[in-house]
Amino acid sequence: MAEEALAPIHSWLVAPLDDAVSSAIRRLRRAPDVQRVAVMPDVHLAEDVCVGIAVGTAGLLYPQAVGGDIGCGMFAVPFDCEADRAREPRSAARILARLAASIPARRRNRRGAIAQPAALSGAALSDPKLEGVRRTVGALEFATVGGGNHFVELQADETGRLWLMVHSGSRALGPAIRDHHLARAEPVGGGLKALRADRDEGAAYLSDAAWARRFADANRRQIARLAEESVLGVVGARLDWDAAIATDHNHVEHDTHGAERLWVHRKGAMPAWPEQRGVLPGSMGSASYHVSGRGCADALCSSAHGAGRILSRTDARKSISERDLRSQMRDVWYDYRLSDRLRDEAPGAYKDIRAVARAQRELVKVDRVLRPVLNYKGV
Amino acid sequence: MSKRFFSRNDFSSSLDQEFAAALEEEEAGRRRSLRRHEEHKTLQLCRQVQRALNLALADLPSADLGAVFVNDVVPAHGCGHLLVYVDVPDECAVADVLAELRAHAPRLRAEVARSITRKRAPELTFVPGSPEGDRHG
Repeated sequence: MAEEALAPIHSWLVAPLDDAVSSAIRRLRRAPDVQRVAVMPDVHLAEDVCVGIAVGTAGLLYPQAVGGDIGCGMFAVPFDCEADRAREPRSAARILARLAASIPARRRNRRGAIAQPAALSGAALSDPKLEGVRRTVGALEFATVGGGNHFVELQADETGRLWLMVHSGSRALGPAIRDHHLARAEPVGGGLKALRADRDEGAAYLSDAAWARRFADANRRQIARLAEESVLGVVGARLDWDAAIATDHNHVEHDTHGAERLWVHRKGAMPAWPEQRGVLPGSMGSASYHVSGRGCADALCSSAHGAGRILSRTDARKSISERDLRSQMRDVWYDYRLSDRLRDEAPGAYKDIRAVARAQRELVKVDRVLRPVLNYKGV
Repeated sequence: MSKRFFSRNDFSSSLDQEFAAALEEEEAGRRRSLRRHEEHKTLQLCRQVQRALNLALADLPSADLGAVFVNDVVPAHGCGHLLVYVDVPDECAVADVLAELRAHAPRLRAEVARSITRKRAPELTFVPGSPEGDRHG
């Protein structure tokens, strides 16, 4: 297909795209009803549709362009204390142990389950099977952080203030919702499937995906409450909830861009409307940024959602040793006993977040730089 | 902060010992507290079972069993299996009473199930005497 027959694309890259990513993006641009594609600097290959992409359509919904972890995002909030108080070795160890005890990676046991907010349990999902997953798995996974690159981190800003950052999503609910609706979607070629937004099937997906975003947001806020208790019990600090920043990077929204009304799918892309606050996390050993959107129309008012991988998990495990990880984490408290299992999350497996921030100067401006003090990751 | 976790020459000696010790200590404290909590819950279950069995025995249509008293209940293999120590009156043959208890075990277990909040009612094994007597031979 000639270039002019493909949907227009704008990109903000750290390095030239490799063949596999280019080919995946081309497949997406060729898909029916795709009006615009924006590629973020943290783009990398993932199943069906790359991570680090925003896609605008007029009437079709592509669940694969949102991904499974619907509503996955960040929650950042400051403590009313200096970061040095959590940096002291004894305090850091006690906080880390308490985080690990109060915020499981995968599931809670039945006695430790935390009730979902009434607003979530009252709003029924579109199918009884999904409701069943919400009542059972959702009940045990609420207020759990998840594995992979999900984390709870304590950070220090430039003034020395302590911040909390949470990265988590809709746990097993998001993938269940995606799979349920993909099974009802029409194949449109290139391995992609679509739903019509103006049909019942499309409306059901939109409703369930919106619910998953609310669940993920509530999950992060509950994790933040539990983290606050952990820190409070050790250094006596409380969160300043009024200063919280919340954002998510896997969703679909109906937005107006210029004269167009588009369904904007973001998969690993953060909304960046003018002055909208966002969080750009680095890897577990590097800096993170608090940012404000510039409302770049070509980027569908989006931004990168983090550093983005440069090594697949398999390649990272092949090339990064436990010693490498410890070296890269030398200034950050973490559970060193998990070093071997965290190798695929080593800072070396991710792009340099500074390069990502430089590449997307048009999309966001940096408000604050934060350095990691302590990182808790579920394995 | 630079001395944490890493040294090119010696991996383990470079661990921040204070951090490592505090992490282990905090976790050990939590484990101890969980163990105490578990022990408390087990003890609570045993007391509930003892009470339920004494009431149930009094209701059974057997003069011998009506005179039997449950001295103590202790866990055998976790909470799934309980040893029930019973006081058998002198005028009754211990073997006969134990046989009768075994015969009524399903009914007694059902009474226990009604009075506790566990998914599975524990298995009951009746033993004459008391745990102390058992321990001291």
